[in-house]
Amino acid sequence: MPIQIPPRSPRDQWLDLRDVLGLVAKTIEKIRYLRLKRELTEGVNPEVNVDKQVLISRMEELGFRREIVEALHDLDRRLYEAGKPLDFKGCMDIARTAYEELVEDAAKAASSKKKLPLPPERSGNFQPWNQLLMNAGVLTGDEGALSQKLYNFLSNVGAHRLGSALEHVRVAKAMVIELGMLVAGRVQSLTA
Amino acid sequence: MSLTVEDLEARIKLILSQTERYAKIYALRDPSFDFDYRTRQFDESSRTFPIAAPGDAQITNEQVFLLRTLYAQCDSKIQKSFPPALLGQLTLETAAVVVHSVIDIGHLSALGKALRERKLDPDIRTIIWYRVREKLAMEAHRFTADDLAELEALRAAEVKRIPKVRPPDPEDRVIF
Repeated sequence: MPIQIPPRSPRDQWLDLRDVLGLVAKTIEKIRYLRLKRELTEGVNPEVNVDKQVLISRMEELGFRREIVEALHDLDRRLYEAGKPLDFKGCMDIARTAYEELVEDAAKAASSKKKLPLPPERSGNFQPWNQLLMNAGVLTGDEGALSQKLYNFLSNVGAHRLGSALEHVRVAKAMVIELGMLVAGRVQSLTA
Repeated sequence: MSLTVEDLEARIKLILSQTERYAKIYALRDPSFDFDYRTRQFDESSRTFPIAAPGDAQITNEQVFLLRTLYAQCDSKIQKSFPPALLGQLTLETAAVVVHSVIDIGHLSALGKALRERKLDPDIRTIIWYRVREKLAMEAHRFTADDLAELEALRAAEVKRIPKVRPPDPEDRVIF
């Protein structure tokens, strides 16, 4: 015999609504608290966060690997939780990886549009792809040199020291996002 | 896509015909974020539900995805008819998908208008607010400070709508 569940009374329905409204208030309060905490501990750069969203949408349109977007989100998550120099070093590693992979995918997209050959396998993680972006006209010589220097900075500060500082990570995040946005935007507007 | 408002309403209705009250909306990176609305509606663990970081939760619900796509493919004139057409289909079964979709397409204010102006029963209102809270917890980064202020004002107005009800007496409570 099926179990009959009695209908809930109107009073119970209103009590449920009151309960859930209480939870909404607590959730809004928690979000505001977390934002204030973030503002006080790491400072706010709303422009970079807006640009991050633009970069992500450009990468999605270009069909870049989903892992790069994940790495950018992961960077924010780790930065939020970081407290020690070794934590910041981990953030630098993620920033370097995200930039390296972004440049590789951008170079592949540019090579496909401009019918340029890909660099030989095992020819290096970053430099050949960066060079390909210059050859395809995505980056000028000066911009290519800046991109290479950014990668060197991310590698040196992130990998070759015992720890990094919050300032390093903030510079790294902002530069990866802004330069990444420039690269992705240029690849988007590239014509065959 | 050139659609008439009638075409749009028919498509929205068709998409929503495939949804359900307890529709799962997200795939989560961390399983500890997950909770089942059927069993954990108002327990203590849902009160301390964490706020997910960007990227922790991804919308995987097919109907939300289809409604967002439909909206993106409409021309700007028809897009104006989208929020009222969507909210016109608000029921106990569709509320989850309607709430997530209307916020995703950037029309939180249309949801507020429906809460203010329409005669919705408390069960639908409860589901709407439960899904608003889910969205807040899973995609807090989507909400600007102004959005949060708007939600707070809507919430305060909703609290005023609740009739003065007496909490259950201790003897009314079921002891397990």
